[in-house]
Amino acid sequence: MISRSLLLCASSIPLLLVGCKNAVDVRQEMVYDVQTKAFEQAIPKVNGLYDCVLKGELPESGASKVAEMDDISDKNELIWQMERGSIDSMRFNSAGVKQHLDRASQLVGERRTASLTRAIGTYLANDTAQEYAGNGFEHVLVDYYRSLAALMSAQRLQGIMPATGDEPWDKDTAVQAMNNIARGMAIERIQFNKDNAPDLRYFDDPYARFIAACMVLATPPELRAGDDMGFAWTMLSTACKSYVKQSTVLGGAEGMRYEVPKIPTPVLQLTLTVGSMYDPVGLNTLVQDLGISTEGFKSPALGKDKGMVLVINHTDWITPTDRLEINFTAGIWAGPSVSEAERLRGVSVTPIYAGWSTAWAKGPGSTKATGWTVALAAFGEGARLFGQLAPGTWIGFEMPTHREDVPIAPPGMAVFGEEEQPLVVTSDFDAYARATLKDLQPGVLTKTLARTLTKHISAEVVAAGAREATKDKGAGEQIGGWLVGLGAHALASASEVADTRHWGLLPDHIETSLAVVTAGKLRVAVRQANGSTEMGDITVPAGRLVIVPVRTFPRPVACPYPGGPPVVPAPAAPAPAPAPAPAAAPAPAGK
Amino acid sequence: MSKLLSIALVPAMALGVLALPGCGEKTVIRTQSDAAKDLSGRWNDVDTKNTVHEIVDKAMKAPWPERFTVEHKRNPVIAIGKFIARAEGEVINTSLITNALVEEFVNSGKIDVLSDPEETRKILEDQAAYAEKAKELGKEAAADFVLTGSIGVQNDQEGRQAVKFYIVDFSMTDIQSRKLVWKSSCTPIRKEVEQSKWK
Repeated sequence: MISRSLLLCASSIPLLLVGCKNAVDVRQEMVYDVQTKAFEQAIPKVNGLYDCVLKGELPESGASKVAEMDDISDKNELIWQMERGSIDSMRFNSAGVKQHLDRASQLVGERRTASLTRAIGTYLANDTAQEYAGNGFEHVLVDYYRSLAALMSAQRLQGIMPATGDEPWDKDTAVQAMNNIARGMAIERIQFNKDNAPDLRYFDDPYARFIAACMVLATPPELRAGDDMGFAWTMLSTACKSYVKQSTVLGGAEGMRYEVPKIPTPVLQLTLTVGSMYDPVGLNTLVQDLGISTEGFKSPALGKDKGMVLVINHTDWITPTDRLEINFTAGIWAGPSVSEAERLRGVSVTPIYAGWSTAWAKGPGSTKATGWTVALAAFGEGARLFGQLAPGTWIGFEMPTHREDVPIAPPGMAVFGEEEQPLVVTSDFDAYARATLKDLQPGVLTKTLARTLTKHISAEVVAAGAREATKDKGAGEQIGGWLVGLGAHALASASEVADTRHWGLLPDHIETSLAVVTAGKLRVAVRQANGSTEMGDITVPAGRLVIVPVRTFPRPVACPYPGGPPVVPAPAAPAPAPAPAPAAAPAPAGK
Repeated sequence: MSKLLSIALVPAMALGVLALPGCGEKTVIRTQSDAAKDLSGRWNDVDTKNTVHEIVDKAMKAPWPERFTVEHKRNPVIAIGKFIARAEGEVINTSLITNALVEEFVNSGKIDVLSDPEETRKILEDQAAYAEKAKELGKEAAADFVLTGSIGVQNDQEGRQAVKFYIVDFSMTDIQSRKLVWKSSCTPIRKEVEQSKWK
């Protein structure tokens, strides 16, 4: 009987041990590497985290040999493509962004609908067993970065910015791509989110609408379509309304700060400029409806010698999704410790002792889970006293959570030649991430509890069977039976891993500044408390908008390596490719 | 216990059966180049081909080429201008359309096409300046008309069902007089896309 019970446990291992406990730490290192521009060091970490690799790259950090062929895991492909797209975006590598995020966009279309395999995987193992499908705001941002990459290519191809090498598009196609992708983002993606997740607080994306309008104004007049200005006006007026609505929904929400309390100045400036040209009556109605004061806003019509420059500062890092563990040990006084790395992440432990048993929560803001630990301690100790749980039994599960929100660094100044203008927070990605997780948490918790209960009932059946089978046997076999029971519960607990996957290389928020400048050469920079970021000289065409994206870290993440950043040895050269066989089968796309 | 084992084995076997259809080799089927195969509902090679064919066909049947030939005793020379596409989330390779248009017009033998891309660029940048220059060049070396077009898409989506409606408009402008000599549209292309609830 024991051997059969052991077989059952053993056969469960592959199903249960899914997920990786130290993903949170690896992600922290990945973010730090990218922040310090150690991209080649970050790429193997992204590959290792999500089990995807391209030919010639290291499959994980510390690997000695590069991959001989592309090997992409279906489960995590979307998040891998997102992170890799972000790295290429920071390197201003439009071809890389196109490669990774075009595929990510395709996957978003496929995965945002329900998946049978996802649903089954989730109920059998844990949430990390399912294909990563991303959140609504991430879906919009995939298109945002695609559109921005096409814009950068278009601006370089027009001589607005210095050339950096080969571009993945010709000029006309780059202009079409930046417009069409932005249209898809502002219309189709947002509408899908509205239709399919109407209860989430991320119900619209005014910044995405603002950017879609900016793409029109950054388009050379000869490449504008007949309805482009109408589209831009619709986007801007909708963005204004949406900013007002979002500030009431997200502003003052519990456990998070929403940093866009009103319509950002650059959005209002552009709305007034486009509205006064395209639809003065509509603009007047909009201003009255929203009760906006337009006093002091510059909205000059762009003359023959004037252009506009929009600086977009992608600032700091989005809050990482962490895990909150809730555990119970029967008949043991446990006292879990917090490592230095965990302490830096804001992890704390809140234990509750009941009789001989302990329940504890560990994670950022663990005190939030006191109610759960008290209930678990009381229930578990009761079960132990009545002989339903053997001493040493471990019951535990994890939930995804966010670290405590802190105020952002005060926005700096954008430098336009000799003039400076303040940067204004225009989108708060961090707030979207926090609101989305909070809105989804009740569903995640219900599913986790149901799964945990099912697993431990099954484990207890195994434990009881093992105890029953060995009750008349010798001490050694009885201990063996007891250990089988503990093992079954331990496996069930260890398999309950929180799904902390998230697009970790996104900025915390966006700051923008819009200036009307004299056409011609112009120096652009961003000045912040911790220094300046020079963007070099650009050439502003008359009557057009130039967009200058910047990435800054006024509050950089701390170095997560205990002994300082590691020095990475160069990877071994790839093995020479074998001669292609005639009619060779294509390389597999997935595992 | 044996009953318990059986209970545990049933879902495991069911999972195995579900996983099996995913294991298979990739197959490639060679098809005719004009065979219509819509995968995503996006603009594809068949749409390009049909559109170009329809534009050229309509251009030939319109009165302006014949009128020009009778008046000038030679074929009209056209420059293929911009085709601007606006489609939500979709990038249409319009250079495939313009290249195919050049091919079909040239092969028609009735309409000549300005082949110099630099000259074409000048026309598109400033038609008035080009018209002045064309007078100096002499009619034979310059384009008489410029063809431009646009592709617009109307999307209608409800849940997993989407309808895409591609509208292609095009027009021919006399470079010297700046008059619109011809304007037409292709038969709209309508595509219905339905995503299954489960994949």
